[in-house]
Amino acid sequence: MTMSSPGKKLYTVLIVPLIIFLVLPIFAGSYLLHIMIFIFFYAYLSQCWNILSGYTGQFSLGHAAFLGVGAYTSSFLFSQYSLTPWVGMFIGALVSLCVGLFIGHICFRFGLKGAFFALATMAFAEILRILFLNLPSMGGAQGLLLPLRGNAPLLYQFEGKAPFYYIALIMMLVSVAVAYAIERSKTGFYFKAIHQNEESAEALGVDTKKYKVIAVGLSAAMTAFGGTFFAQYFMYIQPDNTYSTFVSFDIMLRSIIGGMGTVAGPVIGSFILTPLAEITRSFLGGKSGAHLMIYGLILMAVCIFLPQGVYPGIKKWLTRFQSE
Amino acid sequence: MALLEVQKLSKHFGGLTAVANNNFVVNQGEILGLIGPNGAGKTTIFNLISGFLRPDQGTIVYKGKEIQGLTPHEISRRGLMRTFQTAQAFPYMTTLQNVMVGGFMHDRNRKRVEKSALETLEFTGLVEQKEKKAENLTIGDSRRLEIAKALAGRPSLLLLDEVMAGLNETEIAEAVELIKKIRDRGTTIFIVEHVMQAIMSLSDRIIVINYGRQIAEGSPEKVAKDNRVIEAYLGEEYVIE
Repeated sequence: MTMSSPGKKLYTVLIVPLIIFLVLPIFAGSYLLHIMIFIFFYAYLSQCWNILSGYTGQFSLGHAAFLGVGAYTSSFLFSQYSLTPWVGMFIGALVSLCVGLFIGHICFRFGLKGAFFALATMAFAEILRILFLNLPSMGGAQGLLLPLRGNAPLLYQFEGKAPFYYIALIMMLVSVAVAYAIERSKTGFYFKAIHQNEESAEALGVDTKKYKVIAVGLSAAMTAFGGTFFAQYFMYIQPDNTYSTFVSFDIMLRSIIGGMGTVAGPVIGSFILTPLAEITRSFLGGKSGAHLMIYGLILMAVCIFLPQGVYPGIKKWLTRFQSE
Repeated sequence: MALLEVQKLSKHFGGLTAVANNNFVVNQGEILGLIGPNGAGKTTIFNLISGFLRPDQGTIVYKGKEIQGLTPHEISRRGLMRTFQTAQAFPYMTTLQNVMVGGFMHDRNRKRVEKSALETLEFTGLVEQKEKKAENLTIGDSRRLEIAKALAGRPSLLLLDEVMAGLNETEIAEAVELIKKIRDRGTTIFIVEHVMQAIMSLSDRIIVINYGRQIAEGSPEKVAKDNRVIEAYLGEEYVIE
């Protein structure tokens, strides 16, 4: 598979922003860093979602479930057993992997497809939200406040935003690398084949159920690392800001707008949506949900003008531009 | 030698009998044709053999092992592959990538799979279309792609379901040549086709079914003269006693 020349150029051009990202904390103020952290963080989460929903075409409306499982596992282990979240996040990923395999297995065992799979994942996240709201050992509706230890890098706690900035940057880059590797592998071909024609994939020897379950498991485990990051950054989690459907929407909209099933899509989507969401939040302060209205407007515009997302749209435009 | 042996194969959909007590063999190295009027149950037989449907009764023995009840991917991994009546490509992949999906069945290495996929494209006459998205192919080329995808999985037995539907005379002649070439490379072929001149010239033997029942079997010349076949296709009044 040879990549088209605009594609190749885009990847070379990426070196420049990467260098800017690396040195940015030296100049940037804390508010800009905060926005950058969230851009990277959502790009990461959305890339995890993209692996399942963008590539494999199994649309998840409940990715908050995996974020919540990751956040709660590491936070619970830290507050109850003083286990460092650096270890806790791997346990969270393991728990989330099991949850993902479980959901995937029961959904695909009974052949849930399209909207039905989407609704099942959404329902599952809601079940977890309500369950955790009523679990006193997990803090119930009050949530979990993580014990503060000041500047304690070994406990995933830092003073200042720069360390979180670099962690989020690394997470984003790792997720991009994972997506890139998948795209070029047998697994990636199988994921896309399942997305585009499941029956034909079966006829060509693809164990479609197995590969769909793998996609859910991988995506779930990766998303859980985001959950731990979220918990450590805010030092506070509650069911309504982890397991909530709004969180699921926040995660998936970035891929949908940037371009599903592409490596760059989630990142580009996050660079568009996240700053807008943060700016609306700070300008319209108390009026919660205002950022969702902005999402709605952008989503409408993208659906009309760039139905496959911003990245595929730009790519198409570049190809046309070059051939002329 | 029988590569595939079907015994007492039956399938019902509610009250409708789609396939009733079929018995036949596909011999190693032959081209076996399956014909019958519309709705006779030809595609149902293919779906049963390839695992997309489960038979109500009967056994399907391939390479000496029973395969009824296996999933489609398990069956194709054993070398029994099929094409679909309506070309079922991966629309947003290129022609080359489509064929690579089939090629990954035996190999993980992307470079090697790409290389052998190019050979398959060369063999099927699609190499100039390799960078084209499957959704943009002509009917003729998408039929070729349907065959090429399956060939990438290196089948021992290939079920071809109406690969010539909608093709013009030239394209039909090319398809006939391609199918002969595939057989000459050692792949046994079981083909459903409505284009009579093609199936008559291709097949070593032909099975005729009507309403799910086998009504005739034998060489193309023999079934063409068979009164039950003429009756099934044209009606009783055309049978010359």
